[in-house]
Amino acid sequence: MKTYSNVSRKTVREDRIAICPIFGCESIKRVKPLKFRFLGFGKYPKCRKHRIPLVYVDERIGDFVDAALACFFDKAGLPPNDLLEYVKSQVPDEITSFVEGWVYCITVGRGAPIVSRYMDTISNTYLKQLTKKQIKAIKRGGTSKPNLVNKAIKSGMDEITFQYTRVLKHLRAHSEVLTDRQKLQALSKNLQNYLKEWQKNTLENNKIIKSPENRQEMALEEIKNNYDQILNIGTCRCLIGLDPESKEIKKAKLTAFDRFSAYYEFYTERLATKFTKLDIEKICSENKSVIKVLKSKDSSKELNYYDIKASTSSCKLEAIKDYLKSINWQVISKNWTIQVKGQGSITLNPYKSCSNQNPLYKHKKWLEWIYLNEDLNLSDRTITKICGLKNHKSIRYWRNKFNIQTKEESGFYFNPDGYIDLYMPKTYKHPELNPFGKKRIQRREHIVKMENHLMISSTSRELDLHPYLIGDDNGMYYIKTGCIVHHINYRKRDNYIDNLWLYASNSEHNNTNINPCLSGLIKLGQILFSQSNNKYILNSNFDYRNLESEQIKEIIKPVEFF
Amino acid sequence: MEYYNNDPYFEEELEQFNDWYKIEGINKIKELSRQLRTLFKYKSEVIKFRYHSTLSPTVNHTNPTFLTLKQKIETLTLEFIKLLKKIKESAQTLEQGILNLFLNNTTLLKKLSKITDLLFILIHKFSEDRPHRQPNYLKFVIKLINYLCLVKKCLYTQFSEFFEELSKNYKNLEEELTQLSHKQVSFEEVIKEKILEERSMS
Repeated sequence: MKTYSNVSRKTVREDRIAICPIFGCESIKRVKPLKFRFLGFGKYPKCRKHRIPLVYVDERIGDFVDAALACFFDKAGLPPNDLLEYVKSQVPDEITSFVEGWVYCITVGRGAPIVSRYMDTISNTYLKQLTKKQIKAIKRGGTSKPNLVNKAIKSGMDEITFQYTRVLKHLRAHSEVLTDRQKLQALSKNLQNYLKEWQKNTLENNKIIKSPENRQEMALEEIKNNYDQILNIGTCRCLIGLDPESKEIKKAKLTAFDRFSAYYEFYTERLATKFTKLDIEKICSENKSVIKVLKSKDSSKELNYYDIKASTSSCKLEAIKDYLKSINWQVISKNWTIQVKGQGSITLNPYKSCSNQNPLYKHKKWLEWIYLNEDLNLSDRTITKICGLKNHKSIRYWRNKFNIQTKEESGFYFNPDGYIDLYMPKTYKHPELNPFGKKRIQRREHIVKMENHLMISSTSRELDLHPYLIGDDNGMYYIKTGCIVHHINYRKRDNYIDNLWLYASNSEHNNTNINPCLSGLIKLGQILFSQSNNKYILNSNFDYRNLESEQIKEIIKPVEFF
Repeated sequence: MEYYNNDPYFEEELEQFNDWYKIEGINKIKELSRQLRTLFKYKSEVIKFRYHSTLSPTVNHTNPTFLTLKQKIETLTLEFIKLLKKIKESAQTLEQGILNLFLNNTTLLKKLSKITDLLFILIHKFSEDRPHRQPNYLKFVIKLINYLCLVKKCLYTQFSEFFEELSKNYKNLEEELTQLSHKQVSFEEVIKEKILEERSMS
């Protein structure tokens, strides 16, 4: 254990600031030397709340940061084994994104935001140690008498600034060295649901949350295990887009300060060890080798279209290749022999991957099936990748040779009204505009963007109940014809979702209070009336923002009649 | 006591402290912890933006409070940029220009300091208003903070290391947000996956 200077009025030579060693406790006191070295009370200052001797702030503040950093970067904060086991067995393709995501969330999940709150408390109470006279004297500057409290406060403040910078440096190292942002991906719904369940189970079984009194009977290792479970729940919550603090933990009154106090104990007892990049890589590589074995075992199992869609994009190509192997090609074509210039006839094997020896793209039926399959919806470029070719032009060449028509692709054009219009695919079956999907219709891009945004961000139930939306049989939702999607900044081509606002009707849209604003701009001279073409025009030679706010108020205020 | 009064080293220290205290003022001493808190807030918001899958359609993404705050930030930013341009005209780098102000133009320096403080207050406020719902604006704000940190770094040399480190952390966040916004996700893929997942769950 670290030994602190004994806080005593007998030994102190100048005024110093002391604090309760319990993290989060706001007890802070100015320790003055005794008068004539013997006269005075409270020779050994103690915290009134905790009844323990105080310690000097500049000695203790570093310990708090030590404890916090030990807590953030402890090896026990890496993904727990039971979670890894689940990911390995159920969603092996997500193992890397899961581990990387976990490490990425670790600092915030384990309570980093609380650090500044404690520092705030110290800064505030520190300043309260100054009397009004001293503050005035300091503000007056040069002529003020040197005061010993100033020196004490300054050294403490310097220490606080240093410790803040230290926290920032560690945070940066975390995001630059330990986290690989390229590997981060959103987790699948299945995994998210499992994480939610895991949280519940862990909370239910945690001994400290169940009954905090048990803590005194536990060994230090056991206490650490329980605390780590609680901290890991915070990381887990971040990973599913929630705040790290859960209700259960708040109810159990386990503050972040408790955790840091506990972690200081673990740190001093050498129970906490910092994890490194190597540890993260080790977890990923161990699990990857397991996945390979699992995949080879499952190769006989038939994959279906839904398996492909459920897999992540990085593994999609592999999943498609596996899916193609599982198709009954004999039904599609009985003859797999083709003529190749210079090689004569070759018999292809559609159950094997496409390669130079097995050029499946040169077979009409194979290429036709793979290109026109609506479920897979593959482009030339994707087929090029599946076939292991370098240039997608060769696929286009073979398609043209076999007379396989190019698929309809969606496009856009700029409407003379200033909006962007999109050619929608036939699958866009708006119940009021294109109920049977017989034709391709045009739709304003900002409306489609709003529809997409609402569909992605809402659950099915919310979409069903939404008053401005109408659904089709395929589970897609569309904005009703009477509704208006408004551009907030009046730029018709600025179709960012932040700039869009959905109104129920045109009358509601017209009721946006724009007219009083426009009249203000006319009064200011930003908008002028042109008599030559009987229209209002924008005065581009003038910028009302150059005026003082008082001037603007004066110009636009309503005229008073007497 | 006399011993300390005659100590030349302590005299110098005290002078430094007086300057430092005058610059920071009693109410601004919490600034550093507030900065750290805001950084953590934004960091958490970026995490939420990355992993938060469902946002309620009933909550409007452009609420009036946000719009007012946005307007205030934008007006001040305009002024801030104008000032920076003016400062940079007379020097090779922005940092040099700000440092020159200490000798040449204290009124401009005061104005710059005031705008920087006001902008930081608004940015602190914005951090409390669930900014992950406005990712584009969040990116703009983080970019702005980088410039503010640069100004603060030059204005308060005592905290230059702190603000430099803070700025580096924000730069990382900015890069992250750029990467996130560049990730183009096919809409149909997302919807199909969503429907598939919902079906498999039911």
